Amino acid sequence: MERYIELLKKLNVSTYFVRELTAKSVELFFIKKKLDMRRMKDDDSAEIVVYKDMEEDGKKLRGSATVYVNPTMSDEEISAKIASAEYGASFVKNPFFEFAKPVKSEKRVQESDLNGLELSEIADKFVEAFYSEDNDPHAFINSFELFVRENEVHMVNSEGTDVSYVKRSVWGEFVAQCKEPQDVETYKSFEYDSLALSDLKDLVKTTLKMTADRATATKMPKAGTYDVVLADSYVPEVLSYYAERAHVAYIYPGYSDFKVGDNVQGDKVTGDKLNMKFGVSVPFDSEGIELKEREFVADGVLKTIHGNQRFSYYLGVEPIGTYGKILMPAGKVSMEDMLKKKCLYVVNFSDFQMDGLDGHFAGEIRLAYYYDGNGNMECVTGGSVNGSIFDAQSELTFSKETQKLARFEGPKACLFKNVSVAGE
Amino acid sequence: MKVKESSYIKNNKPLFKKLVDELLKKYEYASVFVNDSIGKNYGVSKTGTTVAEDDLYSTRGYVVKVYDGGCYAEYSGNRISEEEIDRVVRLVSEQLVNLGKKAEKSQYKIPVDEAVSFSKSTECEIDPEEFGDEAIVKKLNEAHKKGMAFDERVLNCNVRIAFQRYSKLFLSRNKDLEQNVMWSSCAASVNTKRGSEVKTSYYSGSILGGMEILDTIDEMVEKAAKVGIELLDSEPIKPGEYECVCTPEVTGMIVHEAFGHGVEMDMFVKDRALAQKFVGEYVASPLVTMHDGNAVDQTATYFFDDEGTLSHDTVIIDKGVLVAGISDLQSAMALGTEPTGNGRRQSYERKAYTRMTNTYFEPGTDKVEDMIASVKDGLLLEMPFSGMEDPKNWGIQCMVNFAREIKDGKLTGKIFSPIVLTGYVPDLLKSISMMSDTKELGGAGFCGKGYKEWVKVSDGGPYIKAKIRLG
Repeated sequence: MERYIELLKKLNVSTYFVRELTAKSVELFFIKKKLDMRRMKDDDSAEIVVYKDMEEDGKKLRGSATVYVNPTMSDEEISAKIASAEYGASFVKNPFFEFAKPVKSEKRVQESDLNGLELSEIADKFVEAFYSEDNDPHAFINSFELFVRENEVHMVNSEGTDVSYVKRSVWGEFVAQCKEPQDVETYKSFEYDSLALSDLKDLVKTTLKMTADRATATKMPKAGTYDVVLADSYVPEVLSYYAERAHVAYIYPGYSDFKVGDNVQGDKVTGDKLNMKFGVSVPFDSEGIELKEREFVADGVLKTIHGNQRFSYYLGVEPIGTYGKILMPAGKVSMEDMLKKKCLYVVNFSDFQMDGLDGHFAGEIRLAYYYDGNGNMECVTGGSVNGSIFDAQSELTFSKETQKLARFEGPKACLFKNVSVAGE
Repeated sequence: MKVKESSYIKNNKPLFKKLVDELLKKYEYASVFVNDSIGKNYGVSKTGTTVAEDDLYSTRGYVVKVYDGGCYAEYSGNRISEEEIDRVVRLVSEQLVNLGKKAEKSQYKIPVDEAVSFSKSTECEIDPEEFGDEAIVKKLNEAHKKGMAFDERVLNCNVRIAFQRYSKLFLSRNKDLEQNVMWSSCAASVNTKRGSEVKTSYYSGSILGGMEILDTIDEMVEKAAKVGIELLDSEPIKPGEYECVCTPEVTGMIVHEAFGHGVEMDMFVKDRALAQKFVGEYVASPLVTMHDGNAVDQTATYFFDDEGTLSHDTVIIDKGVLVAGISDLQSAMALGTEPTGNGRRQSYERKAYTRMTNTYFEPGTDKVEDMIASVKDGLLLEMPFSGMEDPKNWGIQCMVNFAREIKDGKLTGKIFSPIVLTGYVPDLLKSISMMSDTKELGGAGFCGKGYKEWVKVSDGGPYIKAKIRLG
């Protein structure tokens, strides 16, 4: 970091931001139970943003340009990169904005039981836990990739911000397969920032069961409208619509009309009213702004707009940083009660998309359980869900059961009324 | 002009050679793959102007690969010096090869390491670094203003251009390969608004080359703005099976997402691809011939892949029959086939997987106007939005932005949006009954393996006519 700052000063760059990343990882790749590739990584790189203040037609402007550097570069190379950024920034004639209040902080090491272990030891523990559940009578693990990471981030700007943190995390993805009566598979990924071995075991177990169920599913759902239940990661995926629309980058260009005090679910809410907080997964966002738990939506009313420094300044709101984690209380209805009524419980899509701009959520169904309301359940596969959050948001029902993911803590499931489903 | 070489690679090549030599003293096979790239994004929209190097395009580092105990291991880093050579060799032997020690390992042979040596570069007409930020931003500003002025209902017009110049070096006992490549892409997207719903329309293009692509941006802006306004009157579609004509962009999405991922042979090794059981069988209409590789100049054209295998032109479907898949080096060894030069990495920091390059259908003989005239009651599908592979079951999961209604061989002016494509891939491909007489490829986006490992690809083909289930 000192070297980059020194070179910036030598080149008389007065306004800058540097984000240095030191990344280490241990990575293991398995096919079935066999280790197919071992990998290690350790490297350093830095993002340098150079700002240029200008005036045109009496208007104050602040341009910026970004370059990436690393320690393998000579001083001459880094200086040339900085000079090119300064030159590029002079053509970026964006309206002036002020930076967030500077923050100085000692290096923060994210508290975690992953600390104190070698990355390779953490990998061994996760691999052991993972394969301990690979004993379903029908389904089995087809392949598994595990990444144990340690990232040290140091951010400094010319206005006095100087913060750093170290965070360890474990990310993985796997495919479960079942060959009879049909050959099918299920993809799942996970991310933990603790030694969440029992959570991983549960995930493996339920994914194997889901895959065995899918192997028995032959029918498509009948085309029509259904009350659709979504669970697990699909719940935060849909809720990400609200975080996106409450971001200054959506509000400033007019994609979103959200204002603090708005009823974000509309005026006539007959289902559950949304209650969400912003949570903290890293202590500082990518501009070095300190993140802390904040009320986001209370009883369906928007309490906070979040986002980066530039658009926050343009909109006249406090720059509080960009949040990527949502906390939510449990709902009032158990999943058992939810599934007693006629509904389509989609547990696996091939891909599921929530479009924050047009409000549509959609995906092709890999496995869904169709409940007919009379106590009968049938596995179905194929077809697709095509819903609109604008139509669904006034009648949401959240489950009593909860889940804890790296970027979401809240209800495990949500019921959406009258959603269009393509099928037979 | 030829794309210029990397001084970092040139200056440090003796050190990388020494690193390979030192590793070869301990291991039967060792290689090093070095990447030095710079890539920049430029954008102008209502929210402002962007000039920024891209962290995905701008990387410098290397991967060491060794063969130990019948299996492979890799170290990724970016520091290189005499001292670093000692540190890396120690790290490989003391830590890397001991990872996952309790697990049983896959068993591979040592790759065929034929003696080959070259240094090659692609061509570009206008070098972006010489053309300069000022000229690029000026052109984008003009295009942005044109888009905003198109109609008062235009909320935003975002014009973007990107380029990447990369240099790669591959060294093993017998190989010494160098390449310098440049691609550029541009896109125009227009947002229009109806109540709370924001509609998006976009057009994009790409070339193996430099800023000569800027000449195409004005036309993209105009087309995107026109469609953006049309989308304000779009309606949801009634789910069902339709007779459809697909634009080359939509054909490209079907080629890439619905079929291409299924013939990536690392999926064969894992028993994850249905295609493996259909080699030698009809999987498409006899009108269909499909390629992947270097027979076209596009964003994924290169001379050797990220494992030192020379690039190929692979015919995947020949007149409707599935004849071959594409593979990386390790998958080819596992399957006992020839590697096809499709071992690609997101960057030096990542593992190589089997990845597509430029993937497309060959053109047919029909005229587009005849294809539309032949549809009694159907749709013209345009503007791919997203797609996801399903190699295991050949299920289609693709979204296009909109469809134009065709009645009695004529476009009625009515449009539907958004459109989800579902169904079984061979059903769709076998239903292809007409193909237009020219092909177009585009590669403005990136392709992921599942949800990660982004690499630059292109895809396309002709207009096709097929029966497709829509939702």
